[in-house]
Amino acid sequence: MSTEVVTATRAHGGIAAVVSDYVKLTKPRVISLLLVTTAMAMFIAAHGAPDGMLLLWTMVGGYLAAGGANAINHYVDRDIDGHMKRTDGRPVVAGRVTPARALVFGVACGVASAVILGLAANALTAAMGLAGLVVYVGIYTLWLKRSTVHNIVIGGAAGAFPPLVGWAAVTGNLGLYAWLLFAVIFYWTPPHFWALALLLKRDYAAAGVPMLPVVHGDDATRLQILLWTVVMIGVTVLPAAAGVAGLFYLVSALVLGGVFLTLAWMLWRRPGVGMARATFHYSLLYLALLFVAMAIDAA
Amino acid sequence: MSDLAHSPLRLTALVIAAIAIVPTALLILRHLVTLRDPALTRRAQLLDVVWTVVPLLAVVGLLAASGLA
Repeated sequence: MSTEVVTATRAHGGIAAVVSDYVKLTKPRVISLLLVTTAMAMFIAAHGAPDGMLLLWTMVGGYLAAGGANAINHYVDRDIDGHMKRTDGRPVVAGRVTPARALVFGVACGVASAVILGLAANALTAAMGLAGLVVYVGIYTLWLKRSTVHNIVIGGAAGAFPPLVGWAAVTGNLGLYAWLLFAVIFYWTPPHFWALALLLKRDYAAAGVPMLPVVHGDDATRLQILLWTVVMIGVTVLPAAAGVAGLFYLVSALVLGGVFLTLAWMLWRRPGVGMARATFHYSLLYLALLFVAMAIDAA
Repeated sequence: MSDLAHSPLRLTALVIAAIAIVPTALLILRHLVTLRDPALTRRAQLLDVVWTVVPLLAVVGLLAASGLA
């Protein structure tokens, strides 16, 4: 192989690796579920399929808003990410992306999201995208994450903005149904995240993050997961109580919630890593299916 | 949107939500009170109370708003 070819191959691999690292800064796997809730909120608000271009640009803007927040999170948490197995290979901690570049990239993504959402949809949509970013970085990452055991309860609001983005993009306003979608994600976050925290307790303890199982132990966490799951199920039936969702959605919410409650109950009665993992994985599927059920009901 | 009094679906959903939310919110509150850390500063304890109570009050507010919608 000639020198030129070797150099070109390395350069190509280098560019791919750099792109891969910047994509990793946005945490694409986490964002995928957020985008499902954004898209489904658009289908619900439109009572069917929304305009294709609006859907596409809202997804792009939504990705950039959440991705920007995640990139800034990599910058802020670079001092603790190295203490956790789950995060010690992240681009900033591993030295593949400088902290300053991660910060600039995150801010740039946030600005780009505001421009795209503002132009493709409206100012309210752009504001909701930025509000999610500000709550995630300012309220969760900078303030609550390292200071209180209630970090993910209040910080969960950040993850609840995507349906507001989708709703605002279609309607230009935020009615009761939009806020009920926000509430569904807000009250879903504690049982979802605490199930994960049970699995990553040692990591969080090593990093000094006061997650519920680190501060109050597994038993208290499992009871809180069970109780918050019941509240979450109550919240998920509120769209039917408010008269904005119908029988199909109510039955779907109760069946999907029943499975979640069974897992939370089993986790409480029979503690173990396997049940915590099952509860966490089901919580991801649950949220996606719940929003799909709402969209089908609204069509 | 149909009137709550004339919609069995809305009424059923509201009763289910109320049964799930109100007593459980009280149980969460009671459990979190037992977990209170006396070693925390006065400010941290106050914030702890705020973070505990606000989400539970909000969910009761949402329940009421859904019933009145």
